[in-house]
Amino acid sequence: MRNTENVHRGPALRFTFDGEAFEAFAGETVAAALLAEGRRTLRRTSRRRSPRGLFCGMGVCFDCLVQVDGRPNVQACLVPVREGMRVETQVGDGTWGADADP
Amino acid sequence: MPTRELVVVGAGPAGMAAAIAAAEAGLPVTVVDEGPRTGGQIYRQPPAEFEKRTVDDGSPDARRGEVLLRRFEELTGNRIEWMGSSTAWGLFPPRRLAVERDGAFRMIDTDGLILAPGAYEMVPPFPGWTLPGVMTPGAAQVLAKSMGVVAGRRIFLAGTGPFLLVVALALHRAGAEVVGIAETVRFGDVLRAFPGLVAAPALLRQGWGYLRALSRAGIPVHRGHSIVEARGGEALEEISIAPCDADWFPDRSRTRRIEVDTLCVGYGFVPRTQLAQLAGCHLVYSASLGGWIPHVDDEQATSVDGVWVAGDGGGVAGSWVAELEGRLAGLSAARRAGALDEASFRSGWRHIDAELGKLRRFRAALDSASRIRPGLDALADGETLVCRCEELTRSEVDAGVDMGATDARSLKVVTRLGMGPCQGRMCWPSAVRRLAAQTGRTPEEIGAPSVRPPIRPVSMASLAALDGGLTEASPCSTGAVLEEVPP
Amino acid sequence: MKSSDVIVVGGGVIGCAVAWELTRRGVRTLLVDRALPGRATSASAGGLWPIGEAVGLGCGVIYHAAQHAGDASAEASDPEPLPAVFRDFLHESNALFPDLAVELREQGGFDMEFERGAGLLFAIYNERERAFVERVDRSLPPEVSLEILEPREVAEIEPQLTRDLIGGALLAGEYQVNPMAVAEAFKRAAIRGGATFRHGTQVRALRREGNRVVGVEIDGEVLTADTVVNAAGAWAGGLAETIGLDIPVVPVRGQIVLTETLPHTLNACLSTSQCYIAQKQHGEVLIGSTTEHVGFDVGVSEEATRSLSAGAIRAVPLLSKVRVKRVWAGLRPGTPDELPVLGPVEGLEGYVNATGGFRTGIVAAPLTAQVVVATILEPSSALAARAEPFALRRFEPAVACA
Repeated sequence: MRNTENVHRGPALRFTFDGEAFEAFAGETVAAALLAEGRRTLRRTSRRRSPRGLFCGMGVCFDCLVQVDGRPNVQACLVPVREGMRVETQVGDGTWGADADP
Repeated sequence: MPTRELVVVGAGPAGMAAAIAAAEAGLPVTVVDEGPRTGGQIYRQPPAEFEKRTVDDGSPDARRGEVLLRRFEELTGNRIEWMGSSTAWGLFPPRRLAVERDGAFRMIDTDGLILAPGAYEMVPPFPGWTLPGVMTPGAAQVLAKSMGVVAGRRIFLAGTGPFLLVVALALHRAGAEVVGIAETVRFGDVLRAFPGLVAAPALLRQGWGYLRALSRAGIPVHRGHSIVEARGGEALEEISIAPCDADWFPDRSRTRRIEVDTLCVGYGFVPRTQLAQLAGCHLVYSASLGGWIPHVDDEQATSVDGVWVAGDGGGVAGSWVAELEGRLAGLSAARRAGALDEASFRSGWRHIDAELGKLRRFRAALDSASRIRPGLDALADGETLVCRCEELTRSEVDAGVDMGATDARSLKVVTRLGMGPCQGRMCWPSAVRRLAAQTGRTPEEIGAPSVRPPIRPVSMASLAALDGGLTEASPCSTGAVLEEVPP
Repeated sequence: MKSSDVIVVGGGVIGCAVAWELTRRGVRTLLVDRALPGRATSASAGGLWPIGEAVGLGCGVIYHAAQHAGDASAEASDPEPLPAVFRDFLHESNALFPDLAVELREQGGFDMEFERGAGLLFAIYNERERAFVERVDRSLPPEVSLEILEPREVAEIEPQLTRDLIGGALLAGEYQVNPMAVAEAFKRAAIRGGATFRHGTQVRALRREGNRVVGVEIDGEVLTADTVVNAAGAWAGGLAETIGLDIPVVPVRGQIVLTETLPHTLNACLSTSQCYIAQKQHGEVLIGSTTEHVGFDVGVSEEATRSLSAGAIRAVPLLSKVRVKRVWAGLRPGTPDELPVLGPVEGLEGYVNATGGFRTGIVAAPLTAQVVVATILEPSSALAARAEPFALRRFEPAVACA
């Protein structure tokens, strides 16, 4: 959830997570925007398909990997959420989206 | 490309203080940090898009941070060049730093290099520790302090050290229900440490203040308790804590279950030594300071000429010590570059050194109380994952050790422990204690894991464009923007 | 009492394979290894490319392209194919892998990550490379299938490969493994079979009495055996030197770049004149490799990291979107003629070579182990005779009598 006292957020924006639309604020990381909505599971692991979420919160542990705009292995705790961003749960090693082609 | 006079890696308290001290002495300084804004982890600022908001929450720590941030900002563009969102991923001889920013690269040659990379939290493996909802106190703090996002509704914290108390208060203020804190250090051990703690009365008072605030907020501190297990289906639903003995072995017959959706666990910090290792700095082992750390003299200079280490990256001792060490390194670098005369350096040094002495006595007492006991490493059972990236259970890693993989490198190739993207940062601090116990050696005898660039995953496109200077992009254009480096 | 019947020095793929073969045949075996950084096994891509490597379509073409960068004279810079006797040795060794993978998994419980994939695919960027491939094709015996493909056919096999090429050459029977897992699978099978493994133990010297090697010296201890196998890879020369034996093995550094774990991206092992590229079983894409004579330096260089990354992105543009997780280097045991050094040494009893694997140690390991063990157990057998072309005496007659 978002704390409303004493926080003056940036402009609102919209992004999707697994196809569902969410509102976020410019400057928030993907992980923060999703946790604010109570979405804790960000990926499922390769070997056991276990759920994982934010862990170290500072880019060290690589547990919060999501797919962003068709590209896997994006660290949700570091990457700022952007208008129109398409975020997906990364399942295993993920998949290349059609929009990932260079 | 011109060689810079001084580069500082890291913009937490140590890095900012170092840059300020050197810049005030007249030396041009370049500061490189992964974060988009200054502050590091402890003084992490709100995103630039948020309306300006102070990091000052009234605590003395935060006030010191605010002063550093303001002074740093005043000097930025003047003597300080700020390179945010920039990852220093390699260091080539003699002092050539490889930096990536948005898929573009720079190679920066410098005469002086101050490393202030900080530390990350040590979390021991225990059943359920990979569930979403289990995170480090630092992760929850950053969300709350910089973005005003509370990680959960009902939060419990477990581990050791005053940082737990700080985070609990921050979460409480941000509107979370903080259910309690399990501080594993027993009351008797705190009492034994008391004579040392008196060395820094200000810090002692600060700690007392945290405890009073927690008490006023009705947040119970379960002293001498350890986390035992986290449970849940898709995410955390419930934890178990239990009182532990002097060696931190929990008494499982007195386990208490608590329903929570978020658990923050941290048992101290691990210094980030990779760049110092690449620089060839001599390392020494210090269990109380977080493991292998670069050896420094009384000016924070390492064994490599022109390379200093300051702050938690050189041994974990907290933000105040980090700031003082940074200032010392900055002064030392300024003197080496000829920007500061010997007399001015000495007078600065005397003042800081005296202060550091008191703080380090305090810290040593605290470290001795919270040094990791064997019971912590017994929380995991055979089926507990010990390598989060590669999903390896303790039994799987043990099998590798039984077959003769008794060092970091062999374990990596045989079991894949540490082969994942965190490069062993999460698993190794605990794995090395297990390995030591199994093979009858000390972590010191096992040695520090070897380090090669890149020290964290780095864009292949930026590597392809590497050549020590500006180049065109790789044969098939990667879209990487190559930045002109200002002289 | 002697420590064991045979002591194998070196825990790389060759040493482990020899230890397993000995154990399988009932020989009391001691495997001694000092886990040094930079062993060749760790710097291999794990490509089982017997023909590819023999004709220079693996590392060879990268090396020669780098050596002759900017050299207009075409054919002079093409890699020379290795002799047919070695090509056939590799081909035969490679054929052992599918069954071996199963057998070792059953014996030792460890999986070598054998994968068939689409084969080894060489990307032809220009006419000079096409001419080279056509010459290679003509030199091959009919039973080896090298398919020369049009760009359209290349794209069907490997959709992520750049379209900016003029064709490809496919060796469909060339597979891959995880090289460290191969060594580990051999080692565990050997240990389960009764072999003793001393890890973290450096052999300081061989112990020689007259014309006989009687054991090895480790710190403060002598271990004795009927036979000592020198499988010390790039360090084999230094070990042999301790008894005045000259083996012309030198360390040849190969650097490797490894990406983060990726979704399924590649079907084949790719080879180009700039690098080879293979996606491994755990999803990482491995890019190799350099061929450098820099002594025992196992560091990594800016230049190799750059050229391998650039070569990989040129071949597979999608790789510009990924991160590199690791760069490392290993030391291949190189010899003047790029062939291994196998078998006994004239005039020296109780000593056998099993080194010089250079770029082909992984694929050669299964047959190498059988041949080397045959030279110990039944020296007059046909299998033992296969070590003949690779005997040390091809370099310098009577070196052992020094």
